[in-house]
Amino acid sequence: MQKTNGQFLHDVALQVTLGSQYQAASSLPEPLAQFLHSLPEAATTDKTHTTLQLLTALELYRRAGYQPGQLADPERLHATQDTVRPVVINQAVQQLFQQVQEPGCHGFSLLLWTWWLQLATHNNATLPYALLPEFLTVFTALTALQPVALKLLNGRGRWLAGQQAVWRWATLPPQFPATSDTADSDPSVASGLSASATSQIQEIWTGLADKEQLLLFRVYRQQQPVQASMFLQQQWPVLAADQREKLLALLALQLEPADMAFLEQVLAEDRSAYVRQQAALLLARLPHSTTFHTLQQLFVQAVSLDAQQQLQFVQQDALWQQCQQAGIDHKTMSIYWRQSDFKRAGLGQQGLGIHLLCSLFPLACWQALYADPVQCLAAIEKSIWREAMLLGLMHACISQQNRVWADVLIIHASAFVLQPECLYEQGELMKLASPAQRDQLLLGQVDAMASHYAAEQLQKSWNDVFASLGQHAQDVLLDDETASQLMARAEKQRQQHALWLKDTLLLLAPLPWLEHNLSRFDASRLGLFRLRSALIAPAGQP
Amino acid sequence: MLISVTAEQAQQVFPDANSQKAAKKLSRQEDWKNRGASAEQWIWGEITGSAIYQSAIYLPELKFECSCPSFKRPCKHALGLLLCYVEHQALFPVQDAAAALPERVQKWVEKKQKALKKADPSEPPKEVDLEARAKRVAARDKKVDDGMQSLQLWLQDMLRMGLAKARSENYQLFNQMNARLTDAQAAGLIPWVDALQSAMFGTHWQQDCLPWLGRLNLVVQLWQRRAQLDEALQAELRQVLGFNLPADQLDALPVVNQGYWSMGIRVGDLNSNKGRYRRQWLWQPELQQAAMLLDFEIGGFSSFPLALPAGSLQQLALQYYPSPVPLRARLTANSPATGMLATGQAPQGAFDSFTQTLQQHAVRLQRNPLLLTDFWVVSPVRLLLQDEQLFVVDRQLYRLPAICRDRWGLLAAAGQDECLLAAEWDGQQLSITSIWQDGQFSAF
Repeated sequence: MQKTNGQFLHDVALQVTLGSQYQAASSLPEPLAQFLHSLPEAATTDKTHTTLQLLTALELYRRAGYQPGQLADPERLHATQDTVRPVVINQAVQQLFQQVQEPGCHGFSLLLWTWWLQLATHNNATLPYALLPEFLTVFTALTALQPVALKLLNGRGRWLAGQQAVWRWATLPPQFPATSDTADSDPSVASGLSASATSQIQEIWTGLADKEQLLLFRVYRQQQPVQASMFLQQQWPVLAADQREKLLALLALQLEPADMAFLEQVLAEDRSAYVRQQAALLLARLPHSTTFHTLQQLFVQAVSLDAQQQLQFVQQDALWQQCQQAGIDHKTMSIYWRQSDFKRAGLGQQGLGIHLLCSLFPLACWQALYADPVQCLAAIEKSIWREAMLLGLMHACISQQNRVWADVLIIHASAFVLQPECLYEQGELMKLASPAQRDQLLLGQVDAMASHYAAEQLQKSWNDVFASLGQHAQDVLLDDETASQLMARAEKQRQQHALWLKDTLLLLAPLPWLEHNLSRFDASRLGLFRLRSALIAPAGQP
Repeated sequence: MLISVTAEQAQQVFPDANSQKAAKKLSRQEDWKNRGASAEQWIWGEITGSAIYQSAIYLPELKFECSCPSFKRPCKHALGLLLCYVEHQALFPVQDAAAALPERVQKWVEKKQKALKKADPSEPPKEVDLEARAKRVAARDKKVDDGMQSLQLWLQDMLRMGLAKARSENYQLFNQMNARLTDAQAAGLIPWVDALQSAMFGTHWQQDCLPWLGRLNLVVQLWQRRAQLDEALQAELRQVLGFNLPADQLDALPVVNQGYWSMGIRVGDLNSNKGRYRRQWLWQPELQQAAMLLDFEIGGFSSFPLALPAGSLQQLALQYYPSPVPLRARLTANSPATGMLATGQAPQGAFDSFTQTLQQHAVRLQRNPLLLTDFWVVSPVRLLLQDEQLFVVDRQLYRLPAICRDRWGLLAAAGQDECLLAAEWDGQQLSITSIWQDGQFSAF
């Protein structure tokens, strides 16, 4: 009745909306007419009363005669069967999933989730169905952990993720079709072998949003670097500049000489200066690339030692022209380091130029002047361009992922590195630094934290560092000495900082040290310690 | 032996999320000292807060006691004790002698025993003065007569001026009618008037108001012709209006002793946030018949009794309230509260298709036009999410719109595989209470 009498329903609704004085022209459907006629007061002329009776009849007939719709497209119902039935993960791991979400853990959630993921993957677990919605919600926000999170999802999880746009990342495959051993080292073999695999990935790729494409490529690159690079080259012509830049940056994962040809082609031909810039930075890490050699030559022209063995910088227009010819744009480069704008504002025009050159030059170039980075830094300390050069070196260190230079910078230029304006650089350097240097840096910063205007950001930055190192628990744990010193400082600090420090110790201090010192912690925070003990074994592995 | 309480059963008694959070913090076993239990199904323990507080719970009714000064009842300590018991039942040793009970707990036990003694069904019931009752009923009928006349006039006025005009009036229009219904001792209709008011301010208000106008008019018409109605429908009508069955009549209702599957629970707020109601849905597989246990929680005065363990088959003794289509029921006092017949397997007797359920609903509606909510168990069905709308699709590919409090939890539990579905049907959409799939029960 509801389908055939749409007009009638519309008329009744109109009449009731406008009042019974309005009489919509409509003929009663037969069953209703019969029903109304059978009522004792059928002959009444009261329009309001009749309308009320009509509504009652309508309500009863609609409910009694409800007709369900029929599914026009049964294909929609085809179930995606799990190849492996879900294994309800260890009860303890399941409980930990809930505990990591508790408010007290929020400052360290990234580190705790990293450990949780490791524990779950180590146990070769898949998620029980009941945890899927929470799991997807949590890891949608934690983009850095998505590649690992994908491994825990079963077929049901991927299907569920497909039902909501923000969860689409989780529909991506965690593993790509394997190729033979030679395929990944020999592109020519790979191209022949993996045509079907590529078309499979291409199919997935086409329907993805930009963020999901980045995740897919990230996973692909980590697993099959050469194949991923070739795939990117295939997609290159249709990608937007912004996406090209981000995807190109992902080549930094397992960067190899095999990527050189593609990067040089991008540097020479790409329409976007930002993409070219990204390519140049990657090429600066490949010693056999033309860019590397060009930058070496530029270094020789630009940096020299005078008679007093002082560092001298020459910035001629010709130098920048050569850079331009090599595909490196002065302005674009400047924008690339925009995180440091606040710090760079004080450098002046010449200082800015020096900063950019230093950030570009391969760190190996400095060996032409100094035997080791320590000597180099000693010389820079005496230069009038000290600030610009140090900042440039920090940026070079970050873009070239050079651990040796990171350590040296932290030891020998700690006063500069620890400046509040260098928050971004500190975070990135800390990720590269060795545990010993990182601990030194932490101690140095803790002293300054109480008066640091950006103490909260600093704490957040440290939390990110711990999380990024957390994949190898032994790398992130502090030693006894550092733990004791941090505890001593925590007991002198203001409440807010002390709380963060003590929480840090509960998570990162060595277990024997903690067992001796547990009484120095607030009982309400010990849950964090219990959580850590459950997530990582004493040896430091999940 | 102590009654076991599952986490789902405990979930029912939390009045709000804050209580749950606070209770969870106090649920660690090491925080509870001097734990104990008695053969009379009391458990107790001590926890240190601002002082040492003693909490106790009478498990069959989930009646909470605590020595803390909080005004909020049940307090977080008692709820924490319940959660501790759910997790670590073995840590509550049953004490044999009454002397072993802590002094304060002893007092609570005695208080409860007194209350139970008062309500002891074995004691001879007081003689009912039928004449006085008839007078009271007649007086109330008179008041309801007046109330129904007012309601009829109100409905007619609303239609005469049109919903568009009524919509522009303030809330007074509805508040006055509700006050009038309260005076007329027909407060059972207040939720219907509230539903009309809500519909009037919804997105599709023109269409959504029509059913409620029709339903209210139906009640008016039925009341005015109640003498012509059969007894069962009259009884149903009186229940809709808010008449309570006297205790002696309730006790006299026939007892049905059968196996029932506990299929899930719906909890909602009462009008004006005065408390909460809880509908527990049961399914009798051989008769393909549903039963609804309705409980109320009124502020700090009464809490929900212990719910039946969801997803289990139990032998229960029920008394159905009089109705042309019996649905609401109550557990008899001597109904076995524990002793599951089966768990871990799906219930039998489910309907095969929506064609069947809708036909059955039409028949039930014919007998009881006041039936607003029905309960179905259907298998096999699948779930489908299409343009943000959830549908349930049966084997014949007929689909019905559905809602679920935890939509993503439901989709995660069911996927696109076939499952058995238990849901309320309100004439427009299904409200899913639980599903069974591969022997796994999930309630929402």
